[in-house]
Amino acid sequence: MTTVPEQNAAVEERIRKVVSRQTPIGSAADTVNALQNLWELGIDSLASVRMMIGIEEEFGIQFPESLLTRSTFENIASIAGAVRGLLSTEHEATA
Amino acid sequence: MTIQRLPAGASSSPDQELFVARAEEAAAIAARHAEDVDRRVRFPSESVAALKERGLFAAVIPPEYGGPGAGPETLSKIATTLARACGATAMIWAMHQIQAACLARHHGGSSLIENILRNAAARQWLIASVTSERGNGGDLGVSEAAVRQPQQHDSVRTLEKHATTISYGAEAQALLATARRTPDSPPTDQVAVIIYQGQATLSPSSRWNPLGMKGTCSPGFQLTATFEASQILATPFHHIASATMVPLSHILWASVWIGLAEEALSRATCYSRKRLAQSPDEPTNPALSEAHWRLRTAQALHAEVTAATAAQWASASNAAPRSSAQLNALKVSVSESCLDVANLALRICGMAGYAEEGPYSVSRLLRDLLSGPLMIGNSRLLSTNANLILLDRE
Repeated sequence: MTTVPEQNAAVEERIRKVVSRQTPIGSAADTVNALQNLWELGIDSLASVRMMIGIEEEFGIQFPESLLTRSTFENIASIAGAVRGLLSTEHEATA
Repeated sequence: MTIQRLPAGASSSPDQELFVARAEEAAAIAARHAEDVDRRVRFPSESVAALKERGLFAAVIPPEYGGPGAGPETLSKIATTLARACGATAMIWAMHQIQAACLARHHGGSSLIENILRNAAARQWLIASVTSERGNGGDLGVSEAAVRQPQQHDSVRTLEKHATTISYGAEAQALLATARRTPDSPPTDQVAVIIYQGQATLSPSSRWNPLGMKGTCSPGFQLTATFEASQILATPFHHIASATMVPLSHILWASVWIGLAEEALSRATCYSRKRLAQSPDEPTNPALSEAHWRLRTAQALHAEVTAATAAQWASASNAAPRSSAQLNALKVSVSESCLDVANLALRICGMAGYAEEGPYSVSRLLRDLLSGPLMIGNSRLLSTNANLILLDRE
């Protein structure tokens, strides 16, 4: 059984892969600091939409409109927080 | 990020109706000069003066700064009223309201910017937009030019920018320009800065000789400006754009196009009545019905999106992807529909419509409307929306 930190790390790694694939940040996404502002690395609004959809598809989640904001997707850590929140809500709903 | 909440301003309060009535007066003056403005490719100085005399350039500015604080619905009514008389006058007025709205909703508590709003209201300033740039392909979300700080530890900043088009740039008392935050910033890290006319040199870089909207006087300009750091709006430009500039641009441009199309349909209707009176046995051209339903569709979509935006602004909530997609759809749809209406009006009016003058002339209306699909290119917006719509799963 994985620990919570291990689960969190796994979520973050999957997010990094999506960001790498869907945005001009590319492979730098694998090692970038989790608090680094992704927009300062050159994401534009088109790439951000691809990133949002990529993350929804990766985790089988649906961001509510209130979370489809620039601040949710500001850095790897904020995205991971939103994803974990949605995953635990779904887990509670199906438990 | 706090958006300054403008007063809800009931869309049909007595004050708002007064301003729409004043717009009708200014429109009557604009109509008298519209043909000359178009023929001589000149700034519509008479109608701009009429608008200033009636305080109409302050329309969007909130009461605490001396304006009536008109919301999107009233602003739309004014834009459509003016456009029935003169497309260029309406577009100049609309573009200015968009800049003023950005200042009003995103001053961030800056006393300098609040003072600019007071001045703009009291003196009926015209504020121009400097968002276009050579090399950015019409995408206002990226900049090449950057704000520079010539001396460290100094509050003076400079900006050099080659704008491919600045509407009424030569006539404006202030400019709202976008640029990269610093020379080291990525293209999407943009700020907006409000620059006084006296701080800027604008050198025209191209000749203004378009098919329509001639009076908007929108050649390219090389801008060189020196200003204070405090003139840079604290709110990042991407937020100003999504919360205010893009929504109000699409709503008010669409209002102008609807006004032009209404005028085209009106002329086609008058022409058809004259034909019926002269030749009672001749059936009315069914193209009139088609023009009518296309215009009604555009008006209905516009009213819905404007009301939704007004409600969003009143609640100070942020623009969601769905509302961005609606606003893009509004712009594309109305720009194309209104052009269709004018084309149909031309068919209906025949050679009288093809003439450059006369009561049934559709020429200037059609030429002005041809700018609609081009000012931000519709294919660009459709590409953007194709992605945004993927986020809308209902």
